[in-house]
Amino acid sequence: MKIKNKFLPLIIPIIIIVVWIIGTSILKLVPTFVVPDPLTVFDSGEELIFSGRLLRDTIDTLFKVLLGLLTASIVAIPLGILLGSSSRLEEMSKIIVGVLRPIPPVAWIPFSILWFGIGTAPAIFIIFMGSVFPILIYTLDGVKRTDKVLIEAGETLGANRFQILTRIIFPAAIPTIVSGLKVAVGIGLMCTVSAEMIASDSGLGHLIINASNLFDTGATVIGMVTIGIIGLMFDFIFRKIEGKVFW
Amino acid sequence: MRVLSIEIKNIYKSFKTHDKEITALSNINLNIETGDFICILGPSGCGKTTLLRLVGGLEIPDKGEIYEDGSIITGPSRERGFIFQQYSLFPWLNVLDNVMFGLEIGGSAKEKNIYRAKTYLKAVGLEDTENLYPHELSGGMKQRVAIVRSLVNKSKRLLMDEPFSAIDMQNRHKLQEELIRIWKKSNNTILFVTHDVDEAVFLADHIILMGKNPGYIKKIYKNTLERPRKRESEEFLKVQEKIIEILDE
Repeated sequence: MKIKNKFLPLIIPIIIIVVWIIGTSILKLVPTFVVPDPLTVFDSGEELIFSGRLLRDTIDTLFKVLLGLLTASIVAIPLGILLGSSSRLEEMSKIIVGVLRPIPPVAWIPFSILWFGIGTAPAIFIIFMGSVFPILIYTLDGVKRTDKVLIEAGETLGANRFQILTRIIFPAAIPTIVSGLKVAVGIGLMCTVSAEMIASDSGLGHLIINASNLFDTGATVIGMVTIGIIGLMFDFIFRKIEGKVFW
Repeated sequence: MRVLSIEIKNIYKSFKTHDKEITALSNINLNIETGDFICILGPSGCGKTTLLRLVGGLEIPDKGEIYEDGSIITGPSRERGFIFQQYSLFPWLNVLDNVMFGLEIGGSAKEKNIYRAKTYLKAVGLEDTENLYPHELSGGMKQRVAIVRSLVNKSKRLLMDEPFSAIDMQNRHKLQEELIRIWKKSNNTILFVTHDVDEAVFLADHIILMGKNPGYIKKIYKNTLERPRKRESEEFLKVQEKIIEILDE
């Protein structure tokens, strides 16, 4: 039997759903507050959708992720270009970047609360801390790997140092920077949800932690699946962008 | 009257590898007149590319000076367009934008740049490639665009580092003919590095023959073959033989 390729990705999700339905709704192997059955999830989903809460929290989370990424990009991309084009600056920043980078972003939560309180600001700070290093490292790498012949071609066409940076090194590094952003989005999403669970009063992370406090496992599942779908969507978007910027 | 375009005086250049220092060029002296087509010919490792890069300002000599119209060369300049052996078009720009790059950064008006770039592209029959990106071009087309990019930029001198070495023979011959046409029209001074005797004899007025260990100028051969040159002609083959003889000495 031949299966069409585009149905292949659907097989495993369908099996999981079928097993889930049989295990919970039909055989009732576990109580719904441990693993919710489809009907519970459906009810929670319906309520979250029609009350507008799911949309509100999704937009809230997306807003934080994008704002965090934006601020991280504004800092990390120019910094990466600068460090990548000056070996002296790169050497000077080695230790500080080396020490800050391995710190998990969520470890910044205590300070983010102290400095920014509860709400949107601390979450954005956490996302910033999580995504600034991947973007920086990728940018730096892209800059350093710029084909030397392109730089020399620019020089012999009359470009000055600043024009070499902005007109040659930066565009040459864009594919690598996009890869960095792709990595950063994944980290950013994780950071947002973690931050929302602790230091926020809105967003999908808050929705999940709130629901689980109320033993509303259906809503918890809805929150988790929504995050998964957002991640999938980002992945799709970045794959499209990568297809455009890789020559 | 013949005017000096490039004057090379007592050049020495060495490179450090991880364990030793290699002298690439030793005591190079050379005068190049305006409008000349010069080929630098020699075996690999004779420093011919290094010599060209020194003239281009992409390397700095350890000793000696290179003058351009009487002033010392200290770095790259749009006056000396450089065509690299590797493909050097900017992959994120289409052909038209690649060709306009030098003009754009020079700050001249966009309308004028487009007109100028299009005129030059048309002159070499590349007008249909304007909107294509480098990865959509053949190797020969890429090098033609690179040449146009320097010509458009009003470079008085073209420094060419084995630009056609990666191109098949048939297309290489076509490109050589085209280059001669361009050179005759523009009155540019051309410095062309090659290891191909046939190419040097076909192109150059003067052939700088180089030897190695360390790189030095063996002889400057004045090529008086009439243009257009025919590869099959007896005279052409004779010059070729003569050059090979000198190189093998």
